[in-house]
Amino acid sequence: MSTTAEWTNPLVERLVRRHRGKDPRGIIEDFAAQCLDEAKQTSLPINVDLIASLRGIRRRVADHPFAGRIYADDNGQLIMDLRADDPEVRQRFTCAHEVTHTAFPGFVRETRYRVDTAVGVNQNLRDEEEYLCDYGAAALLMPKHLVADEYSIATGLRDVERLARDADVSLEAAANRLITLADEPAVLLVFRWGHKPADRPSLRRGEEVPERLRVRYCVARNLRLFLPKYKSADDDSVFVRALESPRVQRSVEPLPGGSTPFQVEAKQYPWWDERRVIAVATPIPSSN
Amino acid sequence: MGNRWVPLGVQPLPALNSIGMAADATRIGPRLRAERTRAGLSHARLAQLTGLSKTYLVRLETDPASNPSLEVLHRIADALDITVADLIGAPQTQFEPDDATIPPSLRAFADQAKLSQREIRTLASIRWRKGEEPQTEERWRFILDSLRASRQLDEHNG
Repeated sequence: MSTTAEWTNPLVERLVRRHRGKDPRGIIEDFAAQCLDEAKQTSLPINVDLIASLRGIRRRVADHPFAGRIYADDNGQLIMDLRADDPEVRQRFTCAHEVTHTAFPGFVRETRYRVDTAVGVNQNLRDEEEYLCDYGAAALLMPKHLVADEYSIATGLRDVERLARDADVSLEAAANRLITLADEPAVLLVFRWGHKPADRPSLRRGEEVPERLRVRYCVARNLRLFLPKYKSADDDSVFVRALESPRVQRSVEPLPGGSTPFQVEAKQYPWWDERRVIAVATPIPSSN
Repeated sequence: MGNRWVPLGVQPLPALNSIGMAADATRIGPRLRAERTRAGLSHARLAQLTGLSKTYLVRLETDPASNPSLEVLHRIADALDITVADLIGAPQTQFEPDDATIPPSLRAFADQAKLSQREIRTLASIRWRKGEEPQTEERWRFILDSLRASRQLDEHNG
């Protein structure tokens, strides 16, 4: 999803046509900037509830099986349903995501469900509208003009943690935003402890298959590399050490499945009942 | 998600008349009074719910020159279960129907169940991730029923 020509969702195509061929991410950034300007949100954390309310969206929090949805009731009132069980940072991101749906053509009286998957910009997401709404949520909660000069992915996880705290977002959302805004090459990796899909037949047969720390997704900026999804981390890697320690773990070592060493910072990142690790890797500066 | 109000007076907050949108600040007082009355709240009760003073709320309703901040309006709107847009009379975006995008399975269900145009549009407007689009009339019926049930819950609780 790096160039305009790759967008194929009809709704995204209509959005692009409406804005005379502009890249949809730029359109979404402009939409976020307009929302922030209207609501006079000039510092972190952004009051995303106020933005929603100012746009005529009524927020309701209840026991839902989905993270969030937005729809128009019989009177045309926009209603945003959010799941009560979600942590506040998750609800804030979902709220911003749902607000971003209103940037698309023909939304106002539409009903949309946000299917519960990952927070943040997942490079493997195929649904372009969902991707752009996550992108817009990040742009709303972490505006470029408040973030780009103040926080940098080049510091590893330090600024990721600082931004997460200041913007009241999850570590994963903060890391995704800094990767998106980065000028320097960097990689965000998110791992999850568990099985890979290929283990399922064995598990169904009742066989014991050990769980491993596996790549859930990665996002690279200014780098060309490929990390297979579900690739497991070596037991003696910085990623597995991070899983066992509350502190940030640092190392110079290759990424899973690779041979080129990177500077890596990794930290455990519990998410619901999942054991996760978040890591930022940057190339080793050339000695030349 | 708890509301985190900024203490008044700590920092200057943007006032309504600085909002770059079509809102009529002089109409806020009558709207506020009408919505407060509709909600059955006294000034004292609304003051309690919002953390604002009763005197200030009375002034907002009666003084066209009062210039409340968006944060103040948000507190009030939340307490009244309306939006800031309702309170300031911001324009509502209109629905843009696109009949060409109605999938065949929905069209078949709509014909069979004699759905209203509004129901068809609502269902047609749902955006699905790839592979999750309903393929059968039964699934569309389930979705419509769930929306109706959700609405009835709101009405029951309201």
